[in-house]
Amino acid sequence: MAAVEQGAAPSIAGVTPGAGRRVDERSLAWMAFRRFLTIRSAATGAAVLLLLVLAAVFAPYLTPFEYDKIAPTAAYEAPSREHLMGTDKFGRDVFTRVLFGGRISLTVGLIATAIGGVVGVLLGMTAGYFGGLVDEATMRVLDMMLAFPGILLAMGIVAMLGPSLRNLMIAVGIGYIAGFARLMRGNVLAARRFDYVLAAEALGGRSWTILRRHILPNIAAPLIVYATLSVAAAILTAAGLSFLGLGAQPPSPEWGIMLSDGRETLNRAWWVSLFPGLAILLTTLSINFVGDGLRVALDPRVRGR
Amino acid sequence: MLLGVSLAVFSMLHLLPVDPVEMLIMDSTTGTAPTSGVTDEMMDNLRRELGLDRPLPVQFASFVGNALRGDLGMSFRNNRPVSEMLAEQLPYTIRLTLAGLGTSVVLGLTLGILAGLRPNSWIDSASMLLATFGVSMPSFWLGLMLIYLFALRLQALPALGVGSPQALLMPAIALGFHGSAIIARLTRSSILEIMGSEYITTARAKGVAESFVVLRHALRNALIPVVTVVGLEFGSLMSGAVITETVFARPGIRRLAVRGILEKDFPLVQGFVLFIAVIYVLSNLIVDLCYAWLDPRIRFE
Repeated sequence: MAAVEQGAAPSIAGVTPGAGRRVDERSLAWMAFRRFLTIRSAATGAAVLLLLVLAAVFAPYLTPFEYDKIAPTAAYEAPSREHLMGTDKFGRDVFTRVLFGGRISLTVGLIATAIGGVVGVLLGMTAGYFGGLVDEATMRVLDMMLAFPGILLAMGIVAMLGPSLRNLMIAVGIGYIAGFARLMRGNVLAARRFDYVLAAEALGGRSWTILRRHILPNIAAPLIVYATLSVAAAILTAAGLSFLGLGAQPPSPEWGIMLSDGRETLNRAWWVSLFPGLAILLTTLSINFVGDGLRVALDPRVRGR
Repeated sequence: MLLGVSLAVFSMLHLLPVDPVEMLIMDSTTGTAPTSGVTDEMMDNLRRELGLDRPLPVQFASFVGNALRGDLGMSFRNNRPVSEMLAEQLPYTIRLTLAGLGTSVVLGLTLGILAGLRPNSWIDSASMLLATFGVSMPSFWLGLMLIYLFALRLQALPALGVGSPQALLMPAIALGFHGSAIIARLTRSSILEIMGSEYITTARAKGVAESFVVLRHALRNALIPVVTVVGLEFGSLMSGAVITETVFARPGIRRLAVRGILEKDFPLVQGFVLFIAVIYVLSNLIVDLCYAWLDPRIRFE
């Protein structure tokens, strides 16, 4: 369990500004963390996720092969003791590529969410707190962004930036701005009316200080949950776009590209597609379980139990 | 709203730091080396021909004006009207989208209702586990695995193409599974909330049969939030169809969209993105109309 602790605790303490500065705040995070661990699916998800992260980080030490070393004589070898997940059309070890692909997918998921999260949170807090014309203008633009379903906005942005891994992260990230901004705006609007915010305003606190010190920590829970679930969704979208050839480019060991490589030879070499897909599924599944667990653990209605 | 969407699509592709004309004459395979022997004069002519020398507001006005008349411009690469190319491929995509939507609604409602009526039972846990798988599963991988299992191993269904109605079955499942997960979760929470409400207790108290309570009283009200999601799903599925079409090698707008993006065929991408965005907005409008039918209170407002 100590391993899980390291994986999940920073995500709670890290996003709650001021955690550790005051004893009761830390204990709130601690209690949420304890609750989190009692949810079986969430704890399992966190453990699996931690393993996946470690596997991606220590990928070079876990395999004797290189992910881009071509060995034509060893093409399409079925899974064996030597090649745990077989080899692809160039004789590259699929297991090695899946390990390195984890680096790409996890990075893409995190960075895309970070882009969407930072911009969205700032926009949403500004709109919700200052209201008026700022709010009106921001929400109009966001409504326009929301008029593009799912993957379409990302496709449009990739169209204008050109397909590459970096542009993929930007494209997917921009797609999450509107969601984050809406979430934050709603919560800030509600939090503005709380007495402690009014008190801080009456004491002459500066707007950004109030937003950062008083409002943000108190509406962090839904934000953390949303961000977690966004990482999973971003990984899926990014893999889908790469699968279409609109994201990372070969010979990158990106999971979506590997899947699309295996598509042509499904009958001959099912393993080329099966394992990268399983890796995506395992990653998104564990993140989603963690996100659902956080939703319950951070719910103020069960706090203190 | 639609004007805003077209402005967004337009500016997305026109406020770029890149010159479409330069891109156009670039070698589309390498994407870097401009073809040799192109003079500035030739580029200016091309620019004029494509109408790209006019000020942006003028270009936008003519784009909107033409789009309203169903003219989405000429494709840079194929020298054919974009609307004609869209019309050619759309029927396939719409058929797939509707089939996928049908799958999500049927599967999602079934799971959601079963789970919502028996909270914390094994069927509830199983449904919600399936739903979490649904949101986590890459649709293209699911599609490939379905092909492997049912077409290549069991030879029960055709793997690719659009020849028979059976050929639509696997793509529909691959496309609709994700949406069914979302609908199932929502239906469950909606049913849970409504089964605890007072009018359900009243209906039961006056001796109405349980099946009638569920079907007539609970379901109708539980459906209201679900309808919203179904409306949103239509647009998402339509853009998601691009991936499913690739997996099953089906004709459809994927051919236009992906090729348009890779070949920097801006009018094509513009037309495609605008078209789906408009469909998305329209399906939301239809959802609003459905509200009035499901919830009579809205009519009075």
